Amino acid sequence: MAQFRDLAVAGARRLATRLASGLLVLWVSVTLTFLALQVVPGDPVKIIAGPGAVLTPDAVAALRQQFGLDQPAVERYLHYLLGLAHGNLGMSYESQQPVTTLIFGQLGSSVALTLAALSVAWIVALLGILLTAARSPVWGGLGRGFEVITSALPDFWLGLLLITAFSFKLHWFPAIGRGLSGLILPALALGIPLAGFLGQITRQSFEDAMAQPFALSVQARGASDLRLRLRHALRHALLPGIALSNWSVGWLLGASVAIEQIFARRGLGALILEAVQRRDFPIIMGSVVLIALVYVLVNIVTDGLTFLVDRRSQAGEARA
Amino acid sequence: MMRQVPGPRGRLLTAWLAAATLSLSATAAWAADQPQSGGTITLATFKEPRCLDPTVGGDVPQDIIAHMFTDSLISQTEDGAYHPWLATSWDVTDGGLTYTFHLRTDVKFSDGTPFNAAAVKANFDHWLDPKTGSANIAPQLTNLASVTAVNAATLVVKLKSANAFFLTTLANPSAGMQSPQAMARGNTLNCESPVGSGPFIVQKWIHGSEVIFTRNPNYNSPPPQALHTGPAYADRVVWKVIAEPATRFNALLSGEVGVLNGLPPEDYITAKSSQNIAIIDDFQPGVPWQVDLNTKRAPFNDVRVRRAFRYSLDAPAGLRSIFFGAYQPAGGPLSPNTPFYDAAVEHAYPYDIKAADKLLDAAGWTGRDAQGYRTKNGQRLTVHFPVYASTQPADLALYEQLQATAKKAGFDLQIEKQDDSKVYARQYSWDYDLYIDYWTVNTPGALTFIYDSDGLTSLDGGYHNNEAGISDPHLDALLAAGPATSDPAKQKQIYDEAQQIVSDDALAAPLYVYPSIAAFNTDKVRDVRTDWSVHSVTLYDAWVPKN
Amino acid sequence: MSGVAIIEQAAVADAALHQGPARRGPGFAVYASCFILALVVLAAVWPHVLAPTDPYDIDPTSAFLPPSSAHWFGTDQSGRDAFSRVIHGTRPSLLIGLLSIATALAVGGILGLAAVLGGRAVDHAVARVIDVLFAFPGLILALICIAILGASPVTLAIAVGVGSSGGYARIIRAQGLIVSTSGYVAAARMLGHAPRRILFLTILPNIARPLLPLFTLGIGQCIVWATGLSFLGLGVQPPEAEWGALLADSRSYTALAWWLTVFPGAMIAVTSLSLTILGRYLQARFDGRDAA
Repeated sequence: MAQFRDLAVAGARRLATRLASGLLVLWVSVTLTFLALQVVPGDPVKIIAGPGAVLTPDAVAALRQQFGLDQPAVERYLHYLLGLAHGNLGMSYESQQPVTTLIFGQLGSSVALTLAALSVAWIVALLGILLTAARSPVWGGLGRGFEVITSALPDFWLGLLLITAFSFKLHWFPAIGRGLSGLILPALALGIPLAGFLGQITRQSFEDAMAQPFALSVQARGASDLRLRLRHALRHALLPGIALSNWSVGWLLGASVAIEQIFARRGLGALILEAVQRRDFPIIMGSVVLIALVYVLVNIVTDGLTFLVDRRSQAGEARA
Repeated sequence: MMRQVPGPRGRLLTAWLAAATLSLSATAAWAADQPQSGGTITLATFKEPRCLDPTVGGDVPQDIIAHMFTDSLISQTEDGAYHPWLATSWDVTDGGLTYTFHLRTDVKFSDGTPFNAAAVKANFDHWLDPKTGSANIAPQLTNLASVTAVNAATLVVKLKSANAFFLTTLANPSAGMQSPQAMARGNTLNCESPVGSGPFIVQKWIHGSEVIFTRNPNYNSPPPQALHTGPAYADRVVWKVIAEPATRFNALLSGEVGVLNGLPPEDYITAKSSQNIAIIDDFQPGVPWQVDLNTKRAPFNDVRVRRAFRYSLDAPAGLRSIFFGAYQPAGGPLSPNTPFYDAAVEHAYPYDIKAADKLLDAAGWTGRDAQGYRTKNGQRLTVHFPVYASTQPADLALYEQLQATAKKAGFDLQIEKQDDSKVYARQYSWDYDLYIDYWTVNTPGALTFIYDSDGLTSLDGGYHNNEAGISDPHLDALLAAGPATSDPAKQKQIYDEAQQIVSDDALAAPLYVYPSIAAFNTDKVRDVRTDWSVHSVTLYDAWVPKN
Repeated sequence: MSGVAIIEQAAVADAALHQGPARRGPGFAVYASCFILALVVLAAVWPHVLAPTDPYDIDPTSAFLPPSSAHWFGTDQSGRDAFSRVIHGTRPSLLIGLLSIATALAVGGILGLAAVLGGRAVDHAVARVIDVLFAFPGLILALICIAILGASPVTLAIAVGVGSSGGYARIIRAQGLIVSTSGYVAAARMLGHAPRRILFLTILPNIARPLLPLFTLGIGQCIVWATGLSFLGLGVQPPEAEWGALLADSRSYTALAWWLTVFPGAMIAVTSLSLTILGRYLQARFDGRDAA
């Protein structure tokens, strides 16, 4: 029981530290973005007004006031932080919609794609490992080769090939489908290269685990090969892959813009690309906040998981 | 009229044209079918507007949206004739200074408020309010003196000076009538859910993805050119944005999308040969897709260099290889289907490197550097051409071909692909030698927007319409005299001379006639028209066949 | 985009650093990779040797010709020789990759070393900076860089380099901590060597050693990411032939002219693959020496 209490205290302390450093990361990200946007050339008001829009100086001044652009940068910065503390990300210059509405409007599509891509990556990587890792050199070589090759594929190229072959030529998948059928090809394009990396990193720890003495003893107790692989070796091999996936989430959320374009999907990536090109600062800031927040939260969750799951190290810590 | 601004196909102020010619590859197969009610039509286009109210800004896609939910005061056909719509008739008096409109009294906006003279006046006020930021209608109404609602059915508009193109402006889809009650909510709300008296009602705008329209069950005000009366056939219209050309086209082929606005040129041949794809093959009047030559700085401050540049371009070859002949080459200041178009200048500058060489030699660009570019006093003959990063691939490929042929004459044509904001900034500060331009209106008045010296400055110190930077008092006088006269013979004389000047001065290099190519999948939808008015798609008569 | 790949590649390398090395000699794959990379370098340095046809010479009448003996990779929308464009595209693509990874290692190196050498406070600060580098959306970073500096290969390389520097900083820091607490350093201290001497003769070489494989692995991933941004129209200016730009140009024609999509993409994939195989081999060798 004492051990358990120690564990809880250690866990709480760890969580508190993580939360504090997460907040710090968030603040630094927001501040850096704000500073960078001060240097970006291009006047948002002129862009909103648009070429050809004959705006009087009064109208321009009114727009500036509306967006708070007439205030000094320091004041705008503090104002933004204050809003952020209340969960208010401001209004888009261009569409004059709340940034939260715009981002959450795209989030569903991005989250679906991210999760689908991660699922594809895990399924492909695990299949490859269960079938080929710690087997004969030929199998191992095949698996390794598959992983190295897929990890070198540019996702947007894969996307172009997949949509051309399976959608334009064979008509197996819709060109712009929503829902599950429209998710498969983009998820494959993003997930297959990711599977290569996941496979490489997991294979290493899997083979190490299979070479551990406990693997032999499990086998000696008469467990089947599949059982050994699934129940024992895999469990030990998953941690690096989990860490990797958590890095990927933040990335996939915002970075799949080329795939979104190819498959005519909306998503955060497209929103961000347009926002930067049109100098819609509140959307850019909001996206940074969201993605950094997701990264921080996912990190805290995986950190907690690692903390709880990795019993051996915990036991060691508790004893120490 | 329309104008290249942000993005691949920019802001557009469209003009009124007539019922479009349908070149249907599959006419016979379904000619006998009868229109039927029900179903959903999905339309895909390349770009989302920033606002659904067509007067805010004035983007290409806004015209289609305007057709969905508004009716205009009058309509116009290709022959230039004006027809009634929400106005049943009108009188022009005082030598063209006073217009009295007689309005329909049985029309209601879809929010239940009545259409009447006061509502029309509210629309004029909305267009002219600087807060609206109208880039298409307001600049055409600068000579407006007063708008008076005499009674519910009568509206009097007075002008300060005669304007032969005043009715053209009112026939523009962007000048569709909106509910005053809806406009009073302010731009932000009106952009989201504008209200008109048109055949469809804006139901929901999912930003970045689609606009959903539902049928207006009480619709009773179609224009006379429509094929039927009463409510539209389709229950719903989903208006989608698909920026990627290949995806857009393949969605049409597979039937995921019924109608395509903006058929990618590379898919033109495939579309023509597909049994179930009908193409509406049309092009727009006004000033064609062209590059304006900045005469305010070297090297294009020398007319010989400008002419040499025009001789060095072979746009027709590019249009054949990249656009598969889907686009028609342009050679003159106006598109061939514009009133008073002068065919005499269409072929003024054939592709002729020798002629270009001769002119450049005469202009003193006689040196050649290691890369084969011409030089003068150690300066290379460089031409800076800023283009939007979002330029459609086919256009970019065309520019690369121009770059290659211009190089043969010794021009170092630098295509500078930058993000929209940077390109605007360069436009504002005259930091370019070439700038993409087009202006669609079915009057030769388009020339005024582009070459009048008034267009050298803008009120907010930013964008200028006169991208060539030309200030020619004689040309200004001609462009002012055109709309002020109503004698067609005299107008022809004036505009012939204006076109001659623009061509001789080589103020711009026209590339192609701005196309209006739409396509639809006949398994999914029938009777799509590039409507009775503008060359943009209208779905009032369209219906969904039941399979 | 493949930015994530850089981090992942770093993670793969990271894992490899701490786990048992593969003890194998160079196999067929390594030789094949070296051969391909030699060709790639040749294409980058003397493209005319491999592709004598002018990559910018248009001929609209022979547009969209499929691959043939006259045009190995077919022709594009302007009748230009696609093989020549792919070969001439090697130089900018490779340079962007090299410059990216150099930037990434420079930024990562400075951060990592500062963490190792600067004491506890600096180490904490660096750890947070690395966190920020991971948390900050790479796409936004790249787009803002491009918005400020303008679209060019150098901007692209800086954006990609900074965006991927977090992973390298983490690896270099980890390696530095291992080295500085290792036996060599303790021994050097006991021998009374000056701190500077310990730094330059003991710590730095041991940190630098694993960088060569990382560098090799990183070029490939940086090329993939940079071509991804270039695919969005944020890289080289037309008509320059760069792999990402070639792919971007091709995407309207995928159904019509597959060769315009397949070959530039295959070049990216094959180059990145060769660099990965070589990098993994180098890594195994260096680790092997470490272990020995």
